[in-house]
Amino acid sequence: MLLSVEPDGDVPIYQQLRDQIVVAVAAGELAAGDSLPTTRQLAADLGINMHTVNKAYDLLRAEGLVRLGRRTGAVVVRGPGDGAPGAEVVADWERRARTLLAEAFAKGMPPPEVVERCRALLDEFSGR
Amino acid sequence: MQSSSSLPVVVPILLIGGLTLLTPMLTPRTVRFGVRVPAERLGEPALAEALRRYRAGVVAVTAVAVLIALFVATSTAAWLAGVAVEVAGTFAVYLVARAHVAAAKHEGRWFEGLKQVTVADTALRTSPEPFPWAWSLPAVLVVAATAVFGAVRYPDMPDRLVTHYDASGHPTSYADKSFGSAFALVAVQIAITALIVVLTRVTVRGKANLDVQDPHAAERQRRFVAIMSRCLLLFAAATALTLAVTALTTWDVIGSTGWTPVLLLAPVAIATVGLVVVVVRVGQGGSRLPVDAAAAAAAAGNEVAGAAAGNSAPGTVNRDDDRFWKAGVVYFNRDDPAVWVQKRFGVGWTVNFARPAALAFLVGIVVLAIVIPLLLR
Repeated sequence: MLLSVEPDGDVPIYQQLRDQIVVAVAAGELAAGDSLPTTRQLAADLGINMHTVNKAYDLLRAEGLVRLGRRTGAVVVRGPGDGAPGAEVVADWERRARTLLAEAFAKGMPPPEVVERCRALLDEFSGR
Repeated sequence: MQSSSSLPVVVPILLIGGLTLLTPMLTPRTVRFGVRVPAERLGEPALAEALRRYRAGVVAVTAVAVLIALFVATSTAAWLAGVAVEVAGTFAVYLVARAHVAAAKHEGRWFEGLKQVTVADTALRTSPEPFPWAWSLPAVLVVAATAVFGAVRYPDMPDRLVTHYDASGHPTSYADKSFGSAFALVAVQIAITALIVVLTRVTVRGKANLDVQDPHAAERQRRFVAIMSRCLLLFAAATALTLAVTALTTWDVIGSTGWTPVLLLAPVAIATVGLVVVVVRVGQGGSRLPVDAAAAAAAAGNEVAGAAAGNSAPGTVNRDDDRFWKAGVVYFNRDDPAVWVQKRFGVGWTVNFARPAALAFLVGIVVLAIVIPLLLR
């Protein structure tokens, strides 16, 4: 898969990496057991600091999406089909979804349209 | 007499001149004379003007260097003066072209409003091209054959071994026969072969600097690595062969005059020409490789990922990384953990001078270059 970062962009680089990997797992482009490059390799190919890649991998590990090995880099440990998440994960996700939905609602997006757009995005991931 | 003895002197100058003339065509299209440019600006008149002046400059410098080598100086001094003028002159011409492009880019604000990204293909790392170890066999066989032949021949070798020849192949210095003096060249053979194999192995795994504006960049990188590693391993065999012929003259198996100097240089000369031909066809990072329909179809299957990663989005260009390339040729980036990076203006690899490992390697090479001639003395 292709990973691209905007080093001088507004979003922190580690966040850009983390977000793309999460999307790839959701879309099934990365499945459980798939490897990601080692920290050094990915940092070198992108021309960015190793700590930045470490930080992204660490976030993904904390979220339970990857396992980290000293030499193997990061290995994806779960995908959409590997059971429901824990209550804590759901609560955390809901808090952030709330902010995102509030943005849409505050700026006058009609709720049916918000729901419709959310469904379209979800269908993209599940390939429907 | 003058012209026949000067002819080989002119060859390296013409070779450097020819390669320098070709170099702008061998680099990825979004790097022009060491300056990063957006693909959308490739039609800018400043780029065509810089190329025109560069070509005229290189031709003029090469003409002067050839004249110096042929008529001004004599013997070894002629060779050195001519080559020095060629190398320094063409680099000056490059710097002028680079300044021309950089000024146009700066004045025209070519990067304004564009999204600058760098891209990595994880597959290049998680399922890399296998290293073609089998292609190092010719070099290993040449070294082994030389060592075995030397061991068999040792009792019949003369008591004094020639250690140095003049330019026409006549012996100028000798050493008493010993294990050390007889097998010094085999040791050099082993060291150089090992160095080329190890360097090939580490450089091809180096940073993959993919062109964001080229949908086939990863495919090109793969084929570039596969082709270059094979060529460099064959080059190692040619170097070993040249050293084997040198050893044969030292061991008094073949004479040192007549055709021997030709035979001696032939393997490396042929391999160099072969390498140049391949490099011109492949281009830096595989930038000149034709991307066939099958590869294009495979890349199209990856289109969703490309779009999601912003790979093909309009207004998305390569990061302006000029600040990390001093004079457009010396890479210095403290953030980048890469030690080996592809050259910016040329084909092959250079190092990230901000990495201590890279500096240690360079010091090691300089030490080797000093120690090996001392060992052979």
